[in-house]
Amino acid sequence: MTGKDNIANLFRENYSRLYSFAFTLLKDDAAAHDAVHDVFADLLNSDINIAIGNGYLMRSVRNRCLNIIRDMPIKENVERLVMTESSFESIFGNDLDYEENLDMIRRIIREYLPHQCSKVMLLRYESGYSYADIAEELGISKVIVYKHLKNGLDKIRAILFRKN
Amino acid sequence: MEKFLKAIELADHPEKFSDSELKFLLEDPEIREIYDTICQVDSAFVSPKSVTVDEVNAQWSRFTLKKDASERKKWLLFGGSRSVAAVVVAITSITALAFGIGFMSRYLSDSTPAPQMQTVEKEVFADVTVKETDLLPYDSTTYVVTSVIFENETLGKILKDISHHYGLSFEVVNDDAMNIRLFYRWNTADEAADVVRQLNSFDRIRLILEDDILILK
Repeated sequence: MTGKDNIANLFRENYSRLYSFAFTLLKDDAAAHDAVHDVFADLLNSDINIAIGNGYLMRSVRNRCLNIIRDMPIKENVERLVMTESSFESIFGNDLDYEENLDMIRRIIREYLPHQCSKVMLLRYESGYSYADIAEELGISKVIVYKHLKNGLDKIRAILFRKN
Repeated sequence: MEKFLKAIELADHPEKFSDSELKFLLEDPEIREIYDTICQVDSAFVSPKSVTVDEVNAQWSRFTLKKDASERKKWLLFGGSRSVAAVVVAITSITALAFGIGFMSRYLSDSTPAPQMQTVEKEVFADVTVKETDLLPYDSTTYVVTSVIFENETLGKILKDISHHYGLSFEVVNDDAMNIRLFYRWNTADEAADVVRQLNSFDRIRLILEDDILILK
């Protein structure tokens, strides 16, 4: 457990990890940097002299990001594919496990989906292909592309629901 | 399938919908679930830029610049005069005020009214000097320092200032601890025992207050 005895050291030791977490939530570089800065600014201005732990900083960043998401216009959130608050907890409820949850999603797609479904999901979400390009790449119709995507997303949702 | 297609349409082309339409669509539990799963999958493959040591240092500089800009407003009360030196504490300012009043009451005639003093409480950063002359009433205002912020300061420096303020002797048993660096906000109105208790809440710091001696173990 670290003490709140050196804001500069806390900043330098934790910034990279906290920024990555904020970016995963907000999906915007500048907003992620600002969120982390805000957390440290609050630390600087507080009268707290308690020990600052790993989880405290992560929870502070998560709560700050949640406030940012609440204040943003809904269209901006959707443009960035920021998830709704109700589903926040399932992925980011336990902040220290969020990387494990995201890793699980990647493993589900790569290892547990049927072959063609896995290829469609990876082309869409890892490589950013359009639906038409996926259809052309795999020699299938767009309708089949949509079916594979639906099946893949349903499977992921079911596994995450069982896990939580 | 229809709700799935609606969910991927709003995720792919939010510009086609108004804010109220988006809000309405996302109130549908099925559409919201599909949308959230799309967001979660997107999160799994989105990669934040890697943050190098240089970038972290640059962000720290940016952070301190922002902090300094907001703190600079607090210095307006001092008329902009400042220099780098030790901290001036509340007892010194109260003593200066008492001296000033005593001085004036001795040399002024009875018909001369004593100047009206206003006391303004202030907080300062430890790396800025407030000269004693700033505390004497050249107008009708005296500034009393009530809170001192030590930022990345060595424990040795902090304890020297604190022991001086409370009129304590200072002994060092653990030389290594003198170099521990802290961020610490000191309320100068606190009792010495309270300050010792606050500092002991930090890891690796062990202070003892025996009579008028502050001991760093």
